[in-house]
Amino acid sequence: MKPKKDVQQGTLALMVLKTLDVLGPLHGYGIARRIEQISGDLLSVNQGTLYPVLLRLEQEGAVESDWGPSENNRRARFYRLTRTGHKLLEAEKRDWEQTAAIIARFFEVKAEDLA
Amino acid sequence: MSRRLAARIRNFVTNRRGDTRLREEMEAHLAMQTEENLRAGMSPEGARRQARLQLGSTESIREQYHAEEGLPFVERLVQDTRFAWRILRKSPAFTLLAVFTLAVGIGANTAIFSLIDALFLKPLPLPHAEQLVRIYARGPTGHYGAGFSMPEFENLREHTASFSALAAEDRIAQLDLVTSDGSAEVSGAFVSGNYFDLVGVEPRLGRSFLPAEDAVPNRNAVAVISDDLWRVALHSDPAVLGRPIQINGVKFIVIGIAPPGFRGDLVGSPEEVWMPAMMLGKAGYACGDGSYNCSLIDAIVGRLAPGILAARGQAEVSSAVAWSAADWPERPSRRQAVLFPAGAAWPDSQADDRGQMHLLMAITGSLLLVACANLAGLLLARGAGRKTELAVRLAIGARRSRIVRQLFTESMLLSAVGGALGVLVSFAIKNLLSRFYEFDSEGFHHLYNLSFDWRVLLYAVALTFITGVFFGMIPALRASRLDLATDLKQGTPTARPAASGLRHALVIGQVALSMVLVISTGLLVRSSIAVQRGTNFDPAHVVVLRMRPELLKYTPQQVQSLVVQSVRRISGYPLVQSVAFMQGGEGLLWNWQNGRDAQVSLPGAETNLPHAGFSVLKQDISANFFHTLHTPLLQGREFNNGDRAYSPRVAIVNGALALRFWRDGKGVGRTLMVNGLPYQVVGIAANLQPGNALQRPEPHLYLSYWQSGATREGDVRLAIRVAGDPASSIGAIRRVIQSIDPAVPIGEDMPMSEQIGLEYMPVLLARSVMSWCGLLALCLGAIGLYSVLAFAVRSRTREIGIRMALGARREDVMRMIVRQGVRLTLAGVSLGVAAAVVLTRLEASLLYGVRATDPVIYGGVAVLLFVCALAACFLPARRAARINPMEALRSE
Repeated sequence: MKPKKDVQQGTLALMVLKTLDVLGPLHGYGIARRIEQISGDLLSVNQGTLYPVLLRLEQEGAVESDWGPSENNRRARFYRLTRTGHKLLEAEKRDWEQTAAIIARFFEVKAEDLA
Repeated sequence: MSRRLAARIRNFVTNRRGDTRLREEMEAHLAMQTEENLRAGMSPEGARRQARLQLGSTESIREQYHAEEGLPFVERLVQDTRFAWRILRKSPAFTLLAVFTLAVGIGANTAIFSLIDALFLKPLPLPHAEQLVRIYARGPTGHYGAGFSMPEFENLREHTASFSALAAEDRIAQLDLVTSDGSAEVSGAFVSGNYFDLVGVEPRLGRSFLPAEDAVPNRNAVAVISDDLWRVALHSDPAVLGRPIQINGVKFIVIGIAPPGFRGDLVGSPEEVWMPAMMLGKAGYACGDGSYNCSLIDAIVGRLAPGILAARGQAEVSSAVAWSAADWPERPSRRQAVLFPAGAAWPDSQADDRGQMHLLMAITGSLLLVACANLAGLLLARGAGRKTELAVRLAIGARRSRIVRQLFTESMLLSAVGGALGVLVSFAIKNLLSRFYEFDSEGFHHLYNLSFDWRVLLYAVALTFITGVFFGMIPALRASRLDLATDLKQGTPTARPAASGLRHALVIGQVALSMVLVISTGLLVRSSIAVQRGTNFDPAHVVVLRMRPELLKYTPQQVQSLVVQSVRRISGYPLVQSVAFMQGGEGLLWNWQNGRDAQVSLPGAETNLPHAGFSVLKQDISANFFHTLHTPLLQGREFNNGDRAYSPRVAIVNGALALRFWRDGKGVGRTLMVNGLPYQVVGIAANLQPGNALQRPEPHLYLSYWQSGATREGDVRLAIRVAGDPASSIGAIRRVIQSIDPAVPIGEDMPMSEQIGLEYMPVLLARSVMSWCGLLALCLGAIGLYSVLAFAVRSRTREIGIRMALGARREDVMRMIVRQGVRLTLAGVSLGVAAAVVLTRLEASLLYGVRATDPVIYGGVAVLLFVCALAACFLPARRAARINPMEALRSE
């Protein structure tokens, strides 16, 4: 088995926001599953660590949550992105893309480009 | 961000926990994951187990969750505090000692700060007090009593723009007030008509001055009186408004009663009555015509215009005064106008007070320092004893920062409890200290607002915090430097060289500082004994008393007849042994700054510059003066009833003056020129004023009251030697004088020893504070030494056991422990002696009759410290000697 990468706290929050943005309201388990699926099992999310992150996002006003029935009629807590959450996601996304672009450019650079 | 903080605080305050919510969420999560795993084909058992693994450690999740939820910092603080409380309660002896030490240390310092607050910092309880200033005239001698004349004041008022108002003020410490109850001395001030508007005070009854009432000299005899005077002297009679009271023989109509608490604007010197400045002449204080030369106004009260800084006002006042001096070229002024913020005492006494406060702060600060060193030492020893506990906590995962914080919380908790008690202690100390400030040696009442305010509170809190950091820092940091491997293994504490070095340094510091404090105590006690016993006089059984007949506008003949009759009648009173009097002075023995000095020289020396002569303090005294005071005459005789105005002029000099003129100090029969007139020296008296470590006894000249040629103005002071208790005969003596004239103002009536105590208040105050601090420091030093030795014995038990097993005798073991204690004491004492030689200079001005390096005191204190040290060594040494080698070795 390939060694899996740990997820940084900030990155995890961004993944949560994006998941909720794409899929709409979801419960904690659903979010964890999606993140695992999308990352192709490359990331090992200690699933439980999601809950403190969700709580923080809720305290920041980025998500709202409420109890509701799950697909198989279990009682589960559903999380939904708020307007603040949207804005936060946009801002974070821009930041991330910028950083990624800069890093990418650094990797493309060859010695002769700098000559 | 702020939303998050708000949510956290809400959670913290309401103690709401998402425990249920998290648990339910996790349960749902596990159920869903288990189903998923089942679907993937796992066994039910395996599916549940796998789900748990995927979720992760629930404990750590819950902890993270809580960390997001409440206020982890505060929660940990509460936790640490609770734990610290439990730890401290487990060793009540240590805790009580620490709290007591801190309470006294912080309390003493806070009490001194309360004094400083009252003397310098507290603003006057008046509207916009920060705008109020007082302007003084500093004379060429550097004193602030040079005064302004009326024209100067008017000039200043017209040519300055920095002030919204200025008012002249002439404070009179003693006015003669006659009410139906008899005569009394009260303090008051003559002020400009706008004074009450300026300071922002509205009378509680009646009104303040009208502008017209301060416009024409000696026309409007009106007065505003204080609430206190109204209550006490006038029995709260509301009908007093519009009726006259007699002040200095003039009837003033009472027009208003000031609100309770208003006692003028000079801190420490309460006033009872205010009159228009234009009434100065009528009340007996005019000099000539109110011209430029008559500087009656001793201060100008001003209110800075809004937005104007004191510096700007100062600049303007300086230039205006220079300008006014140029306007009267016949009197070039060497005075400077100096502006001070209101809310303080007279500048001259401010300087004295400041010196006194520095000394007191140094004393109590040293005590607190000793206390800190002591506690740091105790905590270090405790920390070493708790190594195993701390090592276990580290081993099961506590972070080092957490351990440091825990230990720090303990010292902070101690400090906080000590500080809180210290504030209470400071109230008691403050009340004791304030008694020293109640009266001065001339019997005048002083009043300071010593109430607790936010400045004092802030000081106490800051001091508590700093103290906690100070004594808690080193032990906490040291405890965090544990070596897990060795400290877990060792059940008993061992003294590591570095740690014990630090503890030894702390003990040496304590011993040295307490040495300094105890030496200072010794010096001050000697000094205060010298002062109170009197140098070449015997104050016991002497009553002093001041009469001020000039307030009744007595003629010189009337004054003389009053004096003669008083002496005759008092002499005839039973128990009275001897009566004498003198004119002028400040108190019976002091005659500092009032210009009653004389120019003396040897005959024929007037032309022989530069030994032409010099100015000396002069007192005009009666017959029997030295006899009454029990002052020895070194040579010759004192004045007697034969020395009258028409008999040959005679003089008495003190020893210091005799030595200035005649090398052998013998001058009886020789002639002395006093202010250009020849006097024959008939006696040489011993020096009456003790010199302190900074100044030698001053030369004094005594002339006969009947020959001095001085005008018969000024106070007359009586000295009466009685058999038995002087205090109980004061009433009778007063009545004798009042039987001659009931209106004669009498003040300063007290036993002479009391007057001396008041005059030398700084010495006695410093002695009291120093004695207590010295005693406490001594005890703390002994405790510090004891704890270090006790700890050494405990940690060396095994070593001592081995020594004994190898043949060391009990005496050897005891000697070894005692030697360690003596070595520490010796280091502390030597350091202390060196420090004392330097530091006792701070109190040199308070040392009378003893040198700052008095070998007897230094030696005595060193012996005392060694005795205390040996006592501190005794218990640990005995315990060491009782160690049973077998048990000590087995205990491994």
